[in-house]
Amino acid sequence: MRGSGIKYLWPYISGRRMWLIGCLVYAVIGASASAYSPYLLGRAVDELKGGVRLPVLAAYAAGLLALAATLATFRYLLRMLTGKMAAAVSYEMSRDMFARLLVLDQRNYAFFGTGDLLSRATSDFIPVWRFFSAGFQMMLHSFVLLVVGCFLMANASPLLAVLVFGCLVVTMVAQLFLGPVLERSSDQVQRDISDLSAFSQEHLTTVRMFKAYGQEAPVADAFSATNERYARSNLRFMLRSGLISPIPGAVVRLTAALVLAVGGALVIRGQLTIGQLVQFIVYITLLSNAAVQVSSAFERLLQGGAAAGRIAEVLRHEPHVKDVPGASDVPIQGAVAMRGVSARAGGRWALRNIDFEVPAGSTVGVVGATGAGKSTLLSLIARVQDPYEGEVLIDGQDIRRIKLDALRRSLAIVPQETFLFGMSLRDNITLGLDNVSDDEVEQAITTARLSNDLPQLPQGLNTPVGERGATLSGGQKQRTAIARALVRNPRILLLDDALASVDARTASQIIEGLASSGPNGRRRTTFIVTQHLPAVRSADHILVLESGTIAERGTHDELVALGGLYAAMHEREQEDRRREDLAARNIMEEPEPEEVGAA
Amino acid sequence: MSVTTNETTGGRVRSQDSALLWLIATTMAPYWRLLSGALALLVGTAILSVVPPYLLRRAIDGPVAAGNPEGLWLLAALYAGVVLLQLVLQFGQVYLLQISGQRALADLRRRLFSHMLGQDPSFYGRHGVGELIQRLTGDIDALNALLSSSVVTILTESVTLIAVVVVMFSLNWRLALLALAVLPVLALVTRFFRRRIRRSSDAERSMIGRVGAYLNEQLNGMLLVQLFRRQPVSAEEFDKLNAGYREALMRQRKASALFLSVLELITAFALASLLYWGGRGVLAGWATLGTLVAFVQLTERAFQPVLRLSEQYNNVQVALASAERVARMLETQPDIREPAEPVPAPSVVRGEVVFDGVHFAYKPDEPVLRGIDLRIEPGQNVAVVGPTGAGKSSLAALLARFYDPQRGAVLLDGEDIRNFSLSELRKAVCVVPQDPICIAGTIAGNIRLYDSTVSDADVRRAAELANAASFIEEMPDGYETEVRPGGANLSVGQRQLLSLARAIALSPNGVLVLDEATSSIDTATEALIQDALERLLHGHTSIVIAHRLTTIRNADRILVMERGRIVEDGSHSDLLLQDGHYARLYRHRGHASGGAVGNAVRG
Repeated sequence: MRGSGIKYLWPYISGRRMWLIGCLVYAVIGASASAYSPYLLGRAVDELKGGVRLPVLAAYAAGLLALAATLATFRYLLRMLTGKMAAAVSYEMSRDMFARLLVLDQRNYAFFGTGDLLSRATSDFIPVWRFFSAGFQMMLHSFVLLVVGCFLMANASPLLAVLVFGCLVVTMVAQLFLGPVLERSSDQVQRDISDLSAFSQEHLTTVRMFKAYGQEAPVADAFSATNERYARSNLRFMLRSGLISPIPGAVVRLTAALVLAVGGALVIRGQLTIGQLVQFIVYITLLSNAAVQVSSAFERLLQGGAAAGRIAEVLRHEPHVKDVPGASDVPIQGAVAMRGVSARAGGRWALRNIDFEVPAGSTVGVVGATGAGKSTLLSLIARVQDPYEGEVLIDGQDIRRIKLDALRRSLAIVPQETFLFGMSLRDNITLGLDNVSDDEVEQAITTARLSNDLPQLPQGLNTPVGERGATLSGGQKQRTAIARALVRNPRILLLDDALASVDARTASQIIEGLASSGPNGRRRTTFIVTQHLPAVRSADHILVLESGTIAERGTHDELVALGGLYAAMHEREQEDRRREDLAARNIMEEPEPEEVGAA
Repeated sequence: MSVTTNETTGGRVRSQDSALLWLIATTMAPYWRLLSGALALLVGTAILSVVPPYLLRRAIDGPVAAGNPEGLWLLAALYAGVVLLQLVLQFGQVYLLQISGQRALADLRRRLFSHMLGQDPSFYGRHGVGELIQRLTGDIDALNALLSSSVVTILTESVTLIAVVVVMFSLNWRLALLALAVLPVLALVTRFFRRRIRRSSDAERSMIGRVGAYLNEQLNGMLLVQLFRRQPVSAEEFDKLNAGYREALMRQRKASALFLSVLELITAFALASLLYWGGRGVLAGWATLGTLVAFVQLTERAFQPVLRLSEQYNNVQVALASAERVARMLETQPDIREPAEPVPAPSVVRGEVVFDGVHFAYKPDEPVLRGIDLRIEPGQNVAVVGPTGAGKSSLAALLARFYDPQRGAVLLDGEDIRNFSLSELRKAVCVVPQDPICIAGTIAGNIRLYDSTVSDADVRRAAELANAASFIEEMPDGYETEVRPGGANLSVGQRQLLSLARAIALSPNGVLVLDEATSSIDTATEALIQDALERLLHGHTSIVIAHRLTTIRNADRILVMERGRIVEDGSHSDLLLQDGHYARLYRHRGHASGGAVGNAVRG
C-alpha cells in the first residue's frame, strides 16, 4: 500500500531527462570528490611518516581544498537542480490538481469530502516536495558516496572494508526498523494530545455552566485523567526515542574501536599503512552518515509516493457532469421541461417521475415540505447533477447536449446558502464576468434592494466583505447573492429559497422587481423555490412537491380551489396570521381600535 | 542553565524574566533530585565524547608505532568501553530527565487548567478558547521541547566544546590555536546564513498559508465558481499563488544549499591547514602523527557544537516566549474572589433577593446597570422583559456573582453575596444558561455533570420533574445513551429539557435564575417545557429573563428594563393598565412574525 503512488510522479519527470542526467553527473562528481578526500588524507599521513618535502605536503593540503571545493560546488549544483525539479513537479502537479478541482462536479466533491480534497491539494504536496528536493538529492549523493567509498576501502583492505560495510548495513537496517516503532509511538502521542485539546475545548467553552454549579474542582480532576494519559504516552515516546536514537551512533563508534584494533594489528604486521588506517577511521563517520541518509531518503520516497498516490486519485477522477462531443452552443431562449425525471441523493430517491413543461418567460413557483426535492429540481436545471432517469429539456433539447458553458452563460442561481468570497462587494456581484458597467451593477443592486445598504458600508461597493462575507448581515448577504444572479441578465433564473433571510416586505419588493426586469424587455424564465406562499402567489405555474413527486400543479387560485395540499398550506398560513392578531388583541384586554387595526 | 540565560539577555524584558524564572523554578522544584542527577549524567556523557580521539592518538603514537599488539588491544578495549559507558550514561540521563520533566509539565498543565477554571467570565471574553487551548497544548509542548531538546543540546554541546578545547590544548597548543582559529569565522557565517534561512522559510510558510486559505475558500465556493463561469479567473489566480510558492521554495532552497556548501568549504579549509601546519609540526618534531590524526577528529567535534548551538538560539526564543505567555496567564487574578472569612450560607435558602443601588458596567464608560433597587420576596416568580442590551442578563450574572457590581450590593437572605464562599453561593443560586449546553458523555452524565453526590435515583427524579424522562427512556440505552459533542444527536428542545433536569438535580433548593432560550422549538416539546417550568418555579424564588408569553403571564411580577434601569414593575394586568412600555411591547408584537416579546423588540 505504502509508496504505491510513486509511478504517478513519473509523468512529471519523464519530460525532464536532461535534468535527471544532470543530477546524476553532479552527484557522481560531488560524491566522488567527497569519497576521495579521506583517501588523500591517508596518503598524506603516509607521506608524512616517510618524511616529506614541504611543497609535496602543501600539494596534499591544496588537493584536499580542491576536492572540498569540487564537492561544495557540485553539491550546491545538485541541491539547486533537484530543488528546481521538485519545485517544477510540485508546481505542475498543483496546477493540474486545481484544474481538476475546477471541473469536478458536486458528486465528486461529496465522494471525497471538501476537507479531504483540501488536504490533498495542500498538505499532500509537502511530502512530494520533500522527496524530490532533499530526499532525491540525499539518495543520489549518498548512494554514489557509498559505492565509491566502499570501492576505495576494498582496495586498501578487504578485511576492514567488510567490517565497515557490516556496520553500515546494521545502521541502515536499524534506521529502517526503528523508525516505524517510533512513528507508532508518536501517533499515540498525537491521539492523546488531540483528546486533551478536545476535552479542554469542550469544558472551557461551557465553563460558565460548570461555574454556575460550582464544579470547578471535579472538572479539574477530570482534566487530570486526560492529562495523565497524555503525559504517560509522551513519556513513553520520549524514553523510546531517547533509547533508540543513540544506538546507530554507538554502533558506528564501536566499529571504530574494532577498526582501530584490527587495523592497528594489520599496521603492526605491515599489511596496512598507517595512512590507510586513518582513512578507514574517517570513512566510518562519513559513510555511516551516508547510510543514515539513504534510509531516511527511502522513508521520504515512501511518504512522497503515498502522497502522490492520494493526489493522483483526484487527478484520475472524472466528473459525471461534462460536455459530450458535439454539444451545441446556440443561444438559450428559456423554455424548460422535464420528462420522466428521477434523481437520487444520499441513497434514496430525491425525485421520481417528474414531468412538466413551461414556456420561455414563465415564472414557476416550487413549494413543498423540507426534503420534498425542491432544491434537487433546481440543481437538475442548472445541471449541477444529471438525472438518474429521464431527461431535462431546455428549449426542447436534452440539457446534456448543450455545452455546459453555453448553459451557464444563460442561467443564474441564487443558492439556499449564500456563499461570498473574501473580495469586495462589487467583485462578489460581478463574479466570473468582466467588463460590467456601473450602470448594470447599479440596476442589479436596485432590483435586489441592496442599494439602500450601501451608505452603511464604509466603502460602498468597494467594501471588502471579509471571509465568507463576515462583515455583512444575513439579509445583506442574501441580497448580494440575488444581485450577483441578476447582473448577468440570465434567460433562466433559479431562486432556491433565496429570500429566507430577507424580511417579508423587502422580499415582495424584490419579487415585483424581478417580474418587471427581463433582458431586453422580454420576461425571463424564473423558478422560485420557497417556504412562503405569498412569494409565488402571482406565479404562472406552481408545482407542489411531495416526497419527490409533483403532487399538484396549477396557478394559485386553481390550487386553492383544488382544496388539496397547497390549499391546506395556504390555510395554515392564513390561520397563523389570524392567530397572531387575535393573541395581540386578547392580551390587550383594553382594545385600542386604531392601534390593533394598524397591526 | 547559565547558557540559557546568556543566550537570552539580548534585550529581553526584565520584569517578565523574574516571572519566567519563578514559573520554571516552581514547576521543577519538586523534581530537583532527579533533575540534578540527569544533569550530572549529561555532563559525564559530554566529557566522555572527547575521550576516543585521545585514545586514537595514544594508539597511533604508542603501540602501533612501537609494534606492540597488547597495548593496542588494551586501548581498543578501552575505546569500546568508553563508548558503551557513554551509551549507558546517556540512557540514564534520558530516563531521569524525562521521568521528572514529563511529570513537571503535566503538573504545570493541570495547574494552568485549574487556574483557567477559576477565572471570571471577562477572562473568557479576553482570551478565546482557541488561545487557551494553545496555552495548554502548544505552549507547554514548547516547554517540553525546551527541556528535552534545547536544554540537553545546549548543555551537552557547551560541555563538549569546553572539553574539546581543553583536550586540544593539553595535546598541542599550536595545533589547538590553528584548529580553533576557524571557529569564530564559522560562528559568524552560521549566524549570517541562519538569519537568511529563517527569513526565507518564514516567507515560504506564509506562502503556504496563503495558498491554503485560497484553496479553502475556492473549494467551499466551487459550485458558484462553476455555475458563474469563474474557472478561468480562478485558475489564473491560483497560478499566481502557485508560482509564488514555487519561487519561495526555491529561495529557501538556495539559502540552505549555499549555507551547506560554505560549511563544507570551511571544514575543508580547517582540515587542509591542519594537515599542512600539523604536517610541518610532525616534520619539525613539535607534533606527532597521532596528535595530527586526533586533531582531525577533534576539529570536527568542535564544529558540531557551534552549529547546534546556533540552531538552538531560535528554538529557545520560541520556547521562552511560550513560557512567558504561560507565566503571564498564571499571573492573572480573577476579580471575583473568595471572601477571606466566608459567612456560611443558610442551610435552607429562604430566597429573599435584594439589589441595593446596584451600578454595573463591563467597560468603565459603558454602564449596563444604572441604579437597580429591587426586593424580591421569598417564593416570588419574577419575569424580566426588555430590549436587547437593557441589562437583563447582567442582572442574572450579578446574582450568581459572575461579576461584582461597581457600586451597591446584591443580598441573598439579607447577607451580601460577596460574603459567601463561591461554591456555596452557586449552590444557593442556580443559573440555567440561555443556550442549553451538552457535553460529550452519557445522558445521566449530562444531568449530574461531575457531581458524584447526585445518585442515579436523583438523576431519574430530576428527569421526571423536568419532563425529560419520556424522551430519555425512548433512547436506545436510556440514561446511558451517549450524547455526542455539543449534543448533536439531541434536538434543541430535548437539550432544554436536559438543562432543566440538570438544574433540578444540582440545585434543588436554590434561587432559580433562568435565561429563556429564544430558539424555536416544536409545539409538543414547547408544551413539555412550559409544564416543567411551572412545576419548577412553584414555591421557588425565581428570576426568568422571559421570551415566552406564557412565562410572562404566569409570573407574579414583571420587571420591564430599559437602558440599565427598571422602568416598570408590577403584575401583568397592572402594567397593561399603566399603558407604558410593557403595553407597547405587546402592541409591537403584532407586527412581527415571531411569537416572543423579546424578539418583537429586537426586530
